[in-house]
Amino acid sequence: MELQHSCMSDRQRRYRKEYRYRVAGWYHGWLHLMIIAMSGIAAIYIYTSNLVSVQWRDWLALPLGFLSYQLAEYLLHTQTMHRPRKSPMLRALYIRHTLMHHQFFTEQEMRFADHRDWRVTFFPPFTMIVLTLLSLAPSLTAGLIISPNFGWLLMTALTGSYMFYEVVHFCCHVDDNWLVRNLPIINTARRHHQAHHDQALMMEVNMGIGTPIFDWLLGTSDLDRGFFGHLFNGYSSKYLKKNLRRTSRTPKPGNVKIPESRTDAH
Amino acid sequence: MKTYTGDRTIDGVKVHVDGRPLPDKADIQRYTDMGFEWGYEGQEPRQLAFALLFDHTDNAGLARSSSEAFMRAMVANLSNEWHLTSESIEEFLRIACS
Amino acid sequence: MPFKFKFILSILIFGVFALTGQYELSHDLSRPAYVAFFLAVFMVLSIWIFPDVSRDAPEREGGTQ
Repeated sequence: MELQHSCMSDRQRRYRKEYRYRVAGWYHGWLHLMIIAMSGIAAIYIYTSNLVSVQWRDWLALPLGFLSYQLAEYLLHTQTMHRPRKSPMLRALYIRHTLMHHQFFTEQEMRFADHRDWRVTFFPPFTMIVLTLLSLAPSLTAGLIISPNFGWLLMTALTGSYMFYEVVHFCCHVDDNWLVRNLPIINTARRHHQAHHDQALMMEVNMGIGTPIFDWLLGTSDLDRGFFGHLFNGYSSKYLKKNLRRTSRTPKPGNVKIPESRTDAH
Repeated sequence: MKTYTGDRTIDGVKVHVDGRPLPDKADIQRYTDMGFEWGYEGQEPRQLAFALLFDHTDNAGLARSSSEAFMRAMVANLSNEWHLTSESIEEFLRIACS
Repeated sequence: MPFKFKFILSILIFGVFALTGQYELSHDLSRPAYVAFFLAVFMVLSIWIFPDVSRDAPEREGGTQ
């Protein structure tokens, strides 16, 4: 099944057909979603059940956990999903992301056709497992040094941030509608992520998905705006940078600027 | 005239010269072990730049000395699927050396 | 995902949530404990039953990096 009305290229259309052929026959998007939701909600229920007499400083774990997750997402996306690595696990992330997700969805066609395409949209279930395991050390450490409540809230924030990412990312790949067009953060993420799916920019620009915080901070955003402008930019393309990379199928040497330094750095 | 093509496929990145896989020539100059990539400035695009230049010129020294500039000027600006000819590589070398 | 990694992750996550369940029981939190035991099994099952993108491709010409 494919979208009836779409301006995707023939190449993208062929790729999507090939990808769907390759996914094991019984995959069901709603089951995938249920696994992520149940795991996340159950885990958060366990963590929050342990909170006793929470102090004001314990609540700081929430923004700290959220920002830590945003940074980890940004770095993982930049350094691993868009760069081939030697380790088989990290290389698998690159293959699944640059060679699958970014070929299935482009800036011309960001939507999935139906729930069977959620396979290339949501992370697989082991992501929640890996996230939980990686969150243990910092949360246990924080729990011992600061307070048990802080540790439990940090686990809650990290798990909740992953679920926030899945919701926002999913909203980036649905059909346009009144809700996603007008919800703050979601509408910003949609424009931000669609620009990232421009294959001319995908390797370097708009690497944050849940929020553009670290794109703004580290200069990898396609917008020339301040912090709040970035967060609440919505669908506006008024503030696009003028010097973004423009790739070409056949770049002509006469049209590109030869860099001054030709010395071999090695 | 040779034709070089590149594409990101579900089975991996594929770069060909006249329909045959382009060797990475990492035995002559290794910038990375990770294979080819393009569309940004980094070690994988530089390896591709070197491999393209070496295949065209058969001159390791020239390929080495020009790889960074070629990477920045051309390889970093290749789109998702791309197509180059030995003519465009030659034109680059003419401009770069002038 | 290779069998080895799935197996290691299964052991680790089962252990973590099983221990969490024990911890909850020791603190008289029975409902979170049962949820933890459930999660221990649920998460392990989810990584084993989830299908990969893996069907064999037809023979193609050319190299793959």
